Amino acid sequence: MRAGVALLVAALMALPVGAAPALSPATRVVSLSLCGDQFLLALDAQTQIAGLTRLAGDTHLSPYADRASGMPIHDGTAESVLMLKPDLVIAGGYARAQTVGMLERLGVPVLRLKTPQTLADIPPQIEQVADALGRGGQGRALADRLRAKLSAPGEGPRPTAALYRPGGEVPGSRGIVNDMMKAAGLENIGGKLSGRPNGRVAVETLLLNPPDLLVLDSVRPDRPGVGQSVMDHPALAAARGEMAVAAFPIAWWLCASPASIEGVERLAEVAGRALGTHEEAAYQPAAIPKPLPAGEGSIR
Amino acid sequence: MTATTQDIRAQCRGRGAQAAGHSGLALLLLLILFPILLTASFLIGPADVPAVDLLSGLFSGQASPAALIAFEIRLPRALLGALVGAGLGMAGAALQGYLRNPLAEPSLIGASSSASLGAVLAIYFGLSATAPLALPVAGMLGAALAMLLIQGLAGRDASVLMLILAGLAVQTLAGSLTSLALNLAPNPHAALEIAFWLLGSLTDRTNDHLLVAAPFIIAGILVLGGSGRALDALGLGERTAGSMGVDLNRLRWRIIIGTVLSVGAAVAVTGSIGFVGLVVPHLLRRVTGNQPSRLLWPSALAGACLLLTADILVRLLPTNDELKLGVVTGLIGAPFFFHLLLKTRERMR
Repeated sequence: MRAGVALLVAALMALPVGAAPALSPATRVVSLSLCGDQFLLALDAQTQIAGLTRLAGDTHLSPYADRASGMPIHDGTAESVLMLKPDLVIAGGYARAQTVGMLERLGVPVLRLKTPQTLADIPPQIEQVADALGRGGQGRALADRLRAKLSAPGEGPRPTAALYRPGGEVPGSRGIVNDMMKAAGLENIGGKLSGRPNGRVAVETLLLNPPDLLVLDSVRPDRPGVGQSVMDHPALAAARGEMAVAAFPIAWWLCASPASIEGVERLAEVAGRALGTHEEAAYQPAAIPKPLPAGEGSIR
Repeated sequence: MTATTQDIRAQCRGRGAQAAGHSGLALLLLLILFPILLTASFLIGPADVPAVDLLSGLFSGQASPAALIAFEIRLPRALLGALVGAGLGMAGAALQGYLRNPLAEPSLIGASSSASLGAVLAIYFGLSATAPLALPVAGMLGAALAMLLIQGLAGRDASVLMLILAGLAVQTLAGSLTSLALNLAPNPHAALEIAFWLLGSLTDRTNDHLLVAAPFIIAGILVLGGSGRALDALGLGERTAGSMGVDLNRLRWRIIIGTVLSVGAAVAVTGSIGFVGLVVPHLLRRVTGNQPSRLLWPSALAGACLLLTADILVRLLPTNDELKLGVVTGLIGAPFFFHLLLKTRERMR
């Protein structure tokens, strides 16, 4: 029995020999996180995908959901991933540390993507994934197209903004939400409100220090809960005279992915619209960069 | 009425008279403390708003941030804290009197966690969004189920041990089912909200929650508050109580309905908050004596004071996220539980 297990392990370890990411292109790639899914789909690597996460096809959470239709889905456990016989596993920053460790012990090559904290971190990761897939040229082209969109945000006064999530969660000064707001010409005051890099903000704190723009990305009346009920607190509805409110699809920044760079244009667009139509608004629309025309750089 | 009953009643009256002096003083103290705590709960919060602005905002009806905070956030929080505390305190005192057991309490017998389960099912599967009243009703159904289960499992005259074990079984089952329901819910955040339902919180509760729960809690408190005399008589034994004209069947339903109304509706909007009903009557018994009729209303008042204090504490403690109320009431209540257990053990020897 024990010998059998040893044999099995040995067989599994023997499988991916020579499949080190940079050497020969991986042909059976499994992504362990929704964010990993996005990189594979952004590269249009459907022919090399052996498994995506269950959320890859969720149009609400996954910006490339339309490309994920028909792709094999796994449940994220080590055994089901092993059954897919991957020659490369793409793992996110935090998700499924136990599973990733187990796969590494069993000899499956794992490419760990650090969670990008800024938009500028994303193009190098595209190239990294593209190289592992043997799509180096395509990766560089996509990365360059996206790099061209990253420009230093204009100087001058910026409207303040905060993203408000179920339960009062407010992303602060660290992470992709903050960087996307910056790139869209907004000043994220989430960190100031909660007093921490990422924390919770009570409804009353928000009312007392209202940002110019309140961004909502997770309003789901179809999925009720205690956290959702905090989002439609009557006091917030009454305070709509104090701040503009914009809805922004969570898919663009739930994962820091190639889509996030494009999401900046969408964010600037919805922010500009909300701030512009807001009655008491005294903001210069010039503070918000005009959305770039969606030309050949567009991914979707 | 037999001579013995008269003797016992006279004896009780004597003891009662002794306690009456203390009792009056305690009641007076609570009556002074309650408005102070209610005001403090209204004035203290995460946002630093001057008291003057809050008070003027409450009556001005403007849409200024201070007025919004006063009317839409602080007011429902303070009033809900007081009401829920009163309901839990009253239910604790009534259950202890009825079950003649100092360890009886809404959360220990599983009524609170079952109410939680009912509320969770109503919220996360969309019932309460279409009909707001579904929330307290589901909470009350949950509490009712627990009360009937406890009746069936332990019976009315059960030993302390039997009652606690039956309560533990109901509590564990309801808690697990709550977690299961939240994990099955379509809302991806739902599993993160388990702590709210198991430990309770008043954070950012709204006037809607207050309006939907208050009528039931108040009705429950009134139903229980009127049972004092019958509970006094029951304290002398079932037969004696019967001979004194107490309809035991009616009393049973009165206690069940009162507890279900006050605890079920309270838990449906705040989550399950433990130990209030245990601590309060126990503390008060020292000054009011053992007679339920003297204990019931002070327990409601003291329950309100305790919950308001706990809710002020969670806002003052410099924790990363606001503590859940059950953490604080548990920290205050568990030592009492130990104390009661030790006392019970001594008596059993």
